[in-house]
Amino acid sequence: MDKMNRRLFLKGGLAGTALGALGLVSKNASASSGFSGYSEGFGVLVDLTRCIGCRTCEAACNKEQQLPEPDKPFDDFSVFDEVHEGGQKRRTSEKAYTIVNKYKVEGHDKPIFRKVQCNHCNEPTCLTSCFVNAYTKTPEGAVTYNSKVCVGCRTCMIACPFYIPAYSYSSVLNPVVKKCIMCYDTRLKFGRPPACAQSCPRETMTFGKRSDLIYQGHQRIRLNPGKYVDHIYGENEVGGTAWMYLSSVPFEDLGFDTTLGNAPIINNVKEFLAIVPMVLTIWPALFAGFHLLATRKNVNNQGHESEKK
Amino acid sequence: MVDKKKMLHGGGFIIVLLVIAFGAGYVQAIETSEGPATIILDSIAEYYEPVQFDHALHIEFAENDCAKCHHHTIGTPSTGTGNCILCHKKEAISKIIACRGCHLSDPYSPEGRKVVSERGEVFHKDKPSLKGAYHQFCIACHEEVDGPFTCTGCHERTDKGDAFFHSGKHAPKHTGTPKH
Amino acid sequence: MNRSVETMDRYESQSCVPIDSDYREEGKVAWSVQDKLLLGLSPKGYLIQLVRNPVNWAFALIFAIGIPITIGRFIFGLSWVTHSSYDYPWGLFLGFGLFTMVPLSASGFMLGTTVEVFGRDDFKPIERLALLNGLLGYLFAVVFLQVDLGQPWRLIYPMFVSLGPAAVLFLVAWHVATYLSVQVAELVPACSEWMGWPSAKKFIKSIVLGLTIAGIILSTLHQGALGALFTYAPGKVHPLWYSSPFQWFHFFCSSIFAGLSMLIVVSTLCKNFMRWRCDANFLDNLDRQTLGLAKGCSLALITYFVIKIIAIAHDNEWSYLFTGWGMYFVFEIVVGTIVPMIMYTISIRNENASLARVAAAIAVFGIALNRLNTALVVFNWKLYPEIPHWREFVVAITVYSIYIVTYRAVLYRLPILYKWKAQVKVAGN
Ligand code: SF4
Ligand code: SF4
Ligand code: SF4
Repeated sequence: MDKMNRRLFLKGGLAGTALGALGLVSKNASASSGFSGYSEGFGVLVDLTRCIGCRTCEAACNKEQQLPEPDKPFDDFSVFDEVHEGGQKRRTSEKAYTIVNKYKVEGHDKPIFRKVQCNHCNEPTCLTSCFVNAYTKTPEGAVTYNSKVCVGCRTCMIACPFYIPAYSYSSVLNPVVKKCIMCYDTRLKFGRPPACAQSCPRETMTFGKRSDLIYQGHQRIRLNPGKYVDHIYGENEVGGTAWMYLSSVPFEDLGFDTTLGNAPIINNVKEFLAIVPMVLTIWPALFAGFHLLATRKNVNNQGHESEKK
Repeated sequence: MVDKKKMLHGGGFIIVLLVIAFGAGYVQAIETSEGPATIILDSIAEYYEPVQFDHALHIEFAENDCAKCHHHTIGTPSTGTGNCILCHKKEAISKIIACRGCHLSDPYSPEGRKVVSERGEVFHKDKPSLKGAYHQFCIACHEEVDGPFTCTGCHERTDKGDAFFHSGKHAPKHTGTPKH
Repeated sequence: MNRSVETMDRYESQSCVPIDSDYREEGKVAWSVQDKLLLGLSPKGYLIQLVRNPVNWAFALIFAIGIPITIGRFIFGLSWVTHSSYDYPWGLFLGFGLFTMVPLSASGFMLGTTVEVFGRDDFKPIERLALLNGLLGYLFAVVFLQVDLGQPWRLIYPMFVSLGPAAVLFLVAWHVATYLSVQVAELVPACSEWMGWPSAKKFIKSIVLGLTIAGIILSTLHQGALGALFTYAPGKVHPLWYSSPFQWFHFFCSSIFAGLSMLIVVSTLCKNFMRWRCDANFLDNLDRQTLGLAKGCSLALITYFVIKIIAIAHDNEWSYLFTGWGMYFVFEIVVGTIVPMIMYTISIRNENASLARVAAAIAVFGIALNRLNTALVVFNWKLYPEIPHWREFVVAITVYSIYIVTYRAVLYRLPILYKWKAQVKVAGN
């Protein structure tokens, strides 16, 4: 509720100030996308101790989302050794909404795998940064994207703290953002789990109400002493995410960014948003005042012609 | 469905019987190392041929200790394998031996979803489905004893499965990443 | 120097002078539109003048290579000119074209404020140049944006089709669009004189104060908003270049000296290479005005520097200063802020306009460095460095060259550097 209000306030505030300054009515704009509460939203708990890197989930996503043919077969495990720009492991791309990466962690003989896809943040930065409102956080918990209105400024890609959205640069006439939508249209909308979650042989991904999953996650940690790091990544990070992770090793060892903090990213932008109404209301009076002062002096001193203005 | 039919045609009478027995949650107080010789596992039979699980062989591997796999429902209950027994020790339900008796074979259908989501107790909510239970259990052990480890080590993939994985004759024609 | 001499030669050889009024000197025959467009030269004379200028050869070379590649961007898509990076979604087009061009174009609202709001009519001779610098800078920032947008034909979507009013970029889009129209309006007087439509000028004069104040508001906000855009990516920009509370102010404050310094640079170029086009009013006042602008720059630079330090102290980032990135940060601050700050101060004390001009060039470089750093170099500092595709450089250089050529073409013609001589129509003509 709190979150909701704040965002609506921000929306209303900026819309009001941006458009209001131009004498446009902003009511429609600020009402254009309502936010429902998240407490009933779905989520997925990814237990990385279970993942064996079989890549079935990648194949399932490819099929479900009708993505283009992959570069390599989904049972080709050489992808785990791929090195991309700057020594990076694989990341989500226009061809793959989800990817699994392999990590060798010191002190563990067995490799650890990490599945990556959109985390479906509670307060998605991709959404808040988008100036055509292409993203929607649905009541079911998914963050969906509307390619019909996307202009292609790619601010969402700048803003996503998890480096998730990809862009189909190669398309000339209809380049769009490509990212996991939690199988919203085909599954989540009907209360069904995402394709990747369902396909996983190891049940690495547990689908359910986000609030239940948090409870479940903590219970797994409690009941298996020593097995997990005592933290659910995504429970609080950047305001909480619908997809959350359990791990047996420190999250930073698996490439998770543990420096993001728990506040929604949009909080950082608020300092600026706060000044907007101030500038809009104070500046005109202030500078009109300056003008009067400055020109009166001229008038007094030399009867300057600016009086006529 | 298709595979069930195939199985009915091709599989022997005994196998059918055994599957029915296990699928229905066959309750029998087997105290010894008996049990079905082969079990057909077909819950993901779309992309894979049904697995003929050599139960007898695995009994051998387990050195007749049923509880190694059937955690607390038969044999000497070992500790640390599941929390169910903590509450259900004295109940008839703890005598269910077949995996399917407790682990839901289809948690993803609307009905399955309903069952899962209506589970009140968080222990119940977090109970793996049949597929999850198999793979968590089997692979954990296979890893230790160097058993078959990859999907196709146990499952023979169907053509549909090859298409799903873009593998075999469905492998991508081009190689490398034509990104730039 | 060469260039003005050359052009003057041509004028002398054709025995005519640059057009600065509606009528030929006799006060009888009006200049035709063709005369005005060709600077009063014959078509042949105009061509010769074009070809003789070595600068044009350089442009010709750039365009010969760059225009096809720029067109290619729209035929083959972004992946043809950029690295199609998912990690670096913004490259040179925005890093340079938007984030650098916009602050360098802040001169329009600065001088507008000085002259129209504060009534400092002593800055009048340079006001129009400042306005033009602003207008063209913004215009080409939008051109750069159009090159970069995936679907440029949807440019108006944020305005009319699908509004995302809570986004900072929404504010930038609206404000840049509105401010562009404000600047067009502010330059109508110059246009109207040249075209000979005095009524337009009169109308604008009547609303100039309103326009100027609108300009201040819009500029404060969108200059700041460009900085605030990076607060969406707190973890990606290096902490030394990032500050949640101050980012917008860094960008706003630096845009002040950026715009003024750019104005000094441009006016210096005009003075040296376009002397024939400048009137005495412009040339005689230039040194004094340059020093006046220098004063503004030095104040803004000091403020900027102090806020930068406060931002570091606020987030307690001192330890970063001793890393490699920290060295680079110190380099940027010393070269882009401290050096011009000191030079400006000395130039004001010694009334040395030439020194102020050097300082301005350095400050412009410094601001470009800062914006490119924030958007590209220290962005994703935890990942890997990205060097844009060579075609991206070519397109950026090409668009910038079009900007310069347009700039020059307008300066040649409209009464920006000179006063239009009001003439009374000779009766019976
Ligand atoms: S399907 Fe499951 S086990 Fe296989 S890679 Fe994906 S998450 Fe891991
Ligand atoms: S992970 Fe990134 S793309 Fe997904 S909802 Fe969050 S901000 Fe948006
Ligand atoms: S939720 Fe759906 S779209 Fe997202 S990664 Fe899984 S299968 Fe792909």
